[in-house]
Amino acid sequence: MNSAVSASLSADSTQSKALHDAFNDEPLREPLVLGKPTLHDVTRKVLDIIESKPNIKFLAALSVTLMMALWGGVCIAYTIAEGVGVWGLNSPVFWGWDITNFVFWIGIGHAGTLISAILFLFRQKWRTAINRSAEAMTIFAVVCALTFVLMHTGRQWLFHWLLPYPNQMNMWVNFRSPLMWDVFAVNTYGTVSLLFWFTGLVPDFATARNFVKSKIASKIYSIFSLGWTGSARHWHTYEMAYMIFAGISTPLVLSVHTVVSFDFATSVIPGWHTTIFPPYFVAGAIFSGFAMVMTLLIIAREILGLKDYITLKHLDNMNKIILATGMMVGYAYAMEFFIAWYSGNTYERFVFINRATGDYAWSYWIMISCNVISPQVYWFKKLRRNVPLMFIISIFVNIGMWFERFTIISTSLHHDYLPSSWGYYSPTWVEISIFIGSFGIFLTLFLLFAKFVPMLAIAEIKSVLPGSQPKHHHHDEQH
Amino acid sequence: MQSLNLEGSPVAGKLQTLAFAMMGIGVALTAMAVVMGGMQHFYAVWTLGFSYVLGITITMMFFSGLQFLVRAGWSTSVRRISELYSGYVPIIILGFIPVILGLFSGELFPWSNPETWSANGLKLAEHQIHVVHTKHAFLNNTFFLARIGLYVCVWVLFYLYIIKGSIAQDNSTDYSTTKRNYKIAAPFLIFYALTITFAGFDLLMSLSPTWFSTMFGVYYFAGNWVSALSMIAIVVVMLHKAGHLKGFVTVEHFHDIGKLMFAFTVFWAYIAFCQYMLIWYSNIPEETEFFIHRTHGGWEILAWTSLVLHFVVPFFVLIRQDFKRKGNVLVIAGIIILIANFLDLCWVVLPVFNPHFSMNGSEFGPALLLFGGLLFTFVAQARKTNIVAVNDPYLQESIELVS
Repeated sequence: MNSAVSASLSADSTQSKALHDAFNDEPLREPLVLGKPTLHDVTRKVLDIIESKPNIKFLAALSVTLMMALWGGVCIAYTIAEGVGVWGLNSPVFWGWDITNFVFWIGIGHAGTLISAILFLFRQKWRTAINRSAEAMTIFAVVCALTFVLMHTGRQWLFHWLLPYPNQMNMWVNFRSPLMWDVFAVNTYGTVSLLFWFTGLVPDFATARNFVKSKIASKIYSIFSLGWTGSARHWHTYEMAYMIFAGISTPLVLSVHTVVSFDFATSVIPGWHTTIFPPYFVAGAIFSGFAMVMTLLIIAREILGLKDYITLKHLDNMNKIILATGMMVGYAYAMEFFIAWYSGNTYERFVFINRATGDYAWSYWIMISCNVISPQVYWFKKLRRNVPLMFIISIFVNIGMWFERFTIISTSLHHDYLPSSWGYYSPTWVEISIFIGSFGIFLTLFLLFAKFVPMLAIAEIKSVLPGSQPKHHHHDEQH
Repeated sequence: MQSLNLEGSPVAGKLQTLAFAMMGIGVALTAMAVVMGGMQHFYAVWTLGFSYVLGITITMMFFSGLQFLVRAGWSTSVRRISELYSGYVPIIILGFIPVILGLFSGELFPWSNPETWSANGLKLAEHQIHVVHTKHAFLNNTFFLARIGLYVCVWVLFYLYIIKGSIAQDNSTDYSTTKRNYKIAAPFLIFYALTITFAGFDLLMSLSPTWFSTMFGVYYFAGNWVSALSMIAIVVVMLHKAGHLKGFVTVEHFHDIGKLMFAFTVFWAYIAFCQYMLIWYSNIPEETEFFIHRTHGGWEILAWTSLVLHFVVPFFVLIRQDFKRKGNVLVIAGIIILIANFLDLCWVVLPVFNPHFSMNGSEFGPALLLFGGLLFTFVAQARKTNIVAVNDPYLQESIELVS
């Protein structure tokens, strides 16, 4: 090593002393797992969640979410039986809560893929504590999103017409339609996310197989663990597969919401047709996805006692991402507004002024306050580590991002070019019920996941325990 | 402490010679631009070359600021390279002078006198003149100058605080400047985002004053960012080869920079494609005009080179793991990206002034001159400043990097 380096880095030099003083003897990198658990402690911690008998709180929560889902199901059946006329859609607004909810749910899923794929490629080891549940949310959110597009089609029993397959009528889907691209993008996304999630689960299913007491449970976990033995060869193949999945999933994070944004941006409707939509939608999706992960994990770490695993450090990092993506969204709002004026196009100008001051101004300002203003509290480290506050902000962000989609959709549609085609859209109880139902589906699936699937990535957490990675000496190696 | 600069290094001498050669050719070609094309042509190619080098230089500060913001460990041994390039900030901002002269001459920006502006037979149509007038509140000489003044202030402050602060850490025993950088990096990056966006609007987008795209700021950023990464990669590899970064930089760092270059060539392509596709698909006259003009009259050649050199070639070169770990491959990929990004800006700027493809080499003049200046400043800085942030708290982590 170069002499200058050793001079500046040798452990007993004055520099090193100064380093400790300057950072108050805090390590440069906070540990990712607190409480110094042993490897066995980690396994037990996660598997105890699975093995413990469902308590009354869990059952109560599950019954509430099931009721919500059931009620949503009833309203879906009603919609199918009566047609989408039972919704509040009417000329000139033909996209309402259905599409808002579709985009909302698709967005929720993005944090999962970002955490599992992009943070993996960036070697962000703090992802290990949160990736499993975030990925689960991705899949459940895609399920909810698909419900809404399916309902939106009107004649849901002909849903297979959305797929391009050879048929006697020689009828093909319209490949030029972005709605068609959505079908491909969302299905690919759902499939890859599911496979990625499952791949990551295989070693943990094997651990569960080996440790759970119930014979039946062990058999079931055995099936899903695909004969995993933990041999070096298995790990090698696994890591290769994981890497490839991460590589494939990364463009998918971009492509899915990009294609969703194309649904709007390829049109010639003022307020929808704007070129920044693709990256803006992706940033917004990650923003909302992180907020949802935040909401659910704050509850989970309280109830399941996971505070040593999902530490304040993790929450702090997630809040930073929420702040950053929130500001990207704010940047996009500002650009849209500015360019609408700069374009010199009367209709563009009108739509944006109308957004901020017209019939839906309330929705616009909810969006701005929740998405742009509320995350600003995260400039302060104290507030980034204040759990009750971040719970509230995460819910604000969820609300704000829902209203973002609602604002985009309603404001651009409700005032058509001619004042004779102006209207005002509000949802009926059926649409509201289906939305509540989608939360029911989402939360039910999440509760079942938390109960039956290892909620933290056991093997990955073990790899970030202090001392598990070979390293040279460190200034901060005090643990 | 022992200094770690390029004083008396042969590779610095070589880089300097290269810089002088570029500047020499640049001056000659710029003179040729004036003589053969007249002042309007000079203003056009100056704005082109200036936007190119300015974007890279300012984005070098973004690189450094970003590493502070995210407390990056991997990049500490290469971060200083970007800071040495940033030493060019106080000089490159002088390049605004010819742009301002162009503005006042009325020949450069069609919006400055929409009724009389013309170039090689191109004129604004009646309805376009009307549209330009509606934008007068933004597109007028006074506000334009005020904005430039604002950008310059932000960039100089960015340089004085973040970059100077990082360099001052080398000879400091407390960590006050580094800790200050952790605090102020985020606000500066926000200002970076806004200034680079509006600089892109002002220097490039307003050349086609009736055209608009919300994505344009991101588009300008994406090209700058991948070019800045390429510049860092090229110099890191060269200095590493010459043995200057021994003990600090390994192939692991090559690999990580290569990954970023790969990721952001794809990002550039994504942004460029989305901007093109959305406008093409919607086919609204005031927007498609921009692309129709640039895919006809011979200009399509630049669209194709842009696609191939800015995306296809780097994509297939950099997707390979082993290639990202080979210094020579990174250098070649970096040079291709730098050329591609320049050609891409040519494609944006030059068709404003000519309905038919016409390039005679003089377009490269100001770009070469300013680019040579960038290299020269780098060498001059590196001769008196450590080329590694030797006193950064995360240096050890960077040295131990396993990509």
